[in-house]
Amino acid sequence: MKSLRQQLTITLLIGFGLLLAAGIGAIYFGTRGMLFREFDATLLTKARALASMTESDGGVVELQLVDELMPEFGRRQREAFFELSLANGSVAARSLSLAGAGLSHGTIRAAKTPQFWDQPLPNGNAGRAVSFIFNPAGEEGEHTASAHSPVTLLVALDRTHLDAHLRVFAISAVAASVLMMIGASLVAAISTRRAFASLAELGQKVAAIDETSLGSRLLCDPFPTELMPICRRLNELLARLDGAFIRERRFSDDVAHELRTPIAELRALADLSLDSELAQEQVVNGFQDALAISRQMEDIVNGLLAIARFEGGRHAIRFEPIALLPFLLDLWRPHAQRAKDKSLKVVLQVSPDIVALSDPASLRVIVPNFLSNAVEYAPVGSEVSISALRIGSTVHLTVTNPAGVLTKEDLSHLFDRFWRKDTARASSSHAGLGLSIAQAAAQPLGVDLTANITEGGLFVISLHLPIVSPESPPGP
Amino acid sequence: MRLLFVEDSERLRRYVGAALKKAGYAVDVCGDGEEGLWSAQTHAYDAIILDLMLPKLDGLTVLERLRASGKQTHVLLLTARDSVEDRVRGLLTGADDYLVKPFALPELLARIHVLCRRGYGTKESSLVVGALEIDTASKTVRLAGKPVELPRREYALLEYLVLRRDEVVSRTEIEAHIHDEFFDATSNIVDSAVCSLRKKITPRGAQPIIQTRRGLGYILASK
Repeated sequence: MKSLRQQLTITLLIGFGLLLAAGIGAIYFGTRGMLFREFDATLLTKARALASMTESDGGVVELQLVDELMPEFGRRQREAFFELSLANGSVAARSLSLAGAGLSHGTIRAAKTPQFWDQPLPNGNAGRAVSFIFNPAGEEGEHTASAHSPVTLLVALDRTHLDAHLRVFAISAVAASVLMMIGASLVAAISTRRAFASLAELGQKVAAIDETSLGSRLLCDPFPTELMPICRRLNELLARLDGAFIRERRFSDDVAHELRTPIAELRALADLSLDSELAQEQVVNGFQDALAISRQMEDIVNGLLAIARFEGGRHAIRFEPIALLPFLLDLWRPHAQRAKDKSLKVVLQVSPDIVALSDPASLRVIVPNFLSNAVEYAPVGSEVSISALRIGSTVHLTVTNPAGVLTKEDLSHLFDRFWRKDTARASSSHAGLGLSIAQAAAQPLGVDLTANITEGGLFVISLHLPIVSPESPPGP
Repeated sequence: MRLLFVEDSERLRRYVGAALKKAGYAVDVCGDGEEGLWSAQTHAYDAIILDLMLPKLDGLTVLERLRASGKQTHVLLLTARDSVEDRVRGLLTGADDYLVKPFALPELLARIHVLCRRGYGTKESSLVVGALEIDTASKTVRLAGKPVELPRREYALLEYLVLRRDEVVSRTEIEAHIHDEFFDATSNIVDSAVCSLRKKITPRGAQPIIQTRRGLGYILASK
């Protein structure tokens, strides 16, 4: 498993290490270059001093007072070396420190401008050498090229001390770098731990949430600003998840409860029948009851399947023009007898020229629920109104009946599955799924389904459908 | 034994009511909570079978009000709610038993039998008074080891008198416990039932086991 903290710590340390190495390297090589330049300057100064002490007298080139003025070239110290060569390659003079040995030019070709290089010294140490060609002065100090043949001076200095200093500097730099890396590792570990502590805390709190604690919420205020949006979003997701779980639980309870009562009826009927000697009439009545119970359970299952079909998008929608008056009259027919039995006054306000654009199959699911509810719950002798009013480019299809015991507080539950005003489930032939099915069928059509109770105590349920104008072509 | 069955499902009222009557109980049925509470407070039932989700007044409220009024009738809650919380709430509200729908009728009858038995402080189904032996579970009667066939109403009367043996039981109490709400209180059905029962359960030449206390009622003496 990848750890963000480890990844960040390692990345920081690698980055810091590279920067440190580059910095220390730059300082080391910069210092080394500076020291070498200073060393070369000293070397050149000594070489030029030697050159100034070189005289040519009648073809004889010699160096004066070297031992007295520059003892480092002497036999004792053996820290500095020179060799003076004539143009023909013969050696005109050598420092005593060479003890008769020669100095090699290596691959360096002598020139009038000073040439520097690293030179292994006869004493076995590493050295630095400079070489240049010059015209030695005459007896009277003249430097004319025509008077005296040019000579090549090669001077080398022991750089053991310089190398030793550089080595100490390098070791110190590496040691300092290692210490800095250790320090940086500690700082990085502590900083990342602190920085990720809030994230780890958030992770622990989220990990502690299970299906039994979905109602709890994370306290976002103590978290850093960067984690606030995550914390808030997690709380939003928790709220939605909690709501979904509550709905699912309630739905499962409702389904179980709705099916338990008819199953209990069937089982009691079966137990009673098996334990009794029934007359032919009782047998027939028992089967009729069993049929009625089966139909009630079938209605519940069909209702749930219808909701699942609409919500799952498995209902194929075909928009077509629908002449509302004949359509509504056709849908009203199954309810007419029941309305007559309850002496309901039915008012139909639908203009014959109104043509809506919708899916007739969906409307055949939605509208009968409005009509069935109105007839079922309207008090005996009251008025049920069915109207279709053209408003702008839509038609408002409305069914109105006296609200009865229904209150405005009930409106928020009206489309809940299995909701009924009376909690007793077996008291009604309605399973409380009708309006849920209607809403599920209305959503894919993209139409509004609204329910309201007027100040006058009327329950109004409406469906807003797009209207077909004479010039508009059919279809969405 | 007289029972009250409060249930909003008309079919369950019919089926369970018929099964209870067949088992020898006098049964009153109600379809909503208000009527159920009124009946429970008005009549002396040996047990009440109460649904929870009832129209007008839910079962728990009925139970609360019943207990608040001082009625100690045994109550069995019969409901589709099966969660532990529902059961606990029901029992803590004052129910004596809890049965979840769907249920087996024999189990319901057994639970009702136990509740009724508990009301008279006995835990045994077999009641013995002298040569008379009554099995309240199988609803059978034996006299000196021989079976005695009794009509349902006479059996109910005998069971009630045996459960209250050595106590004077008034005619009103008998009517309240062995007859349902459709009983005609002006009839002398109790007297004739006692008379008939006395003949069937008294051994030849012996003193009647059920004796009349004039102006008070009847007593079934165990000694």
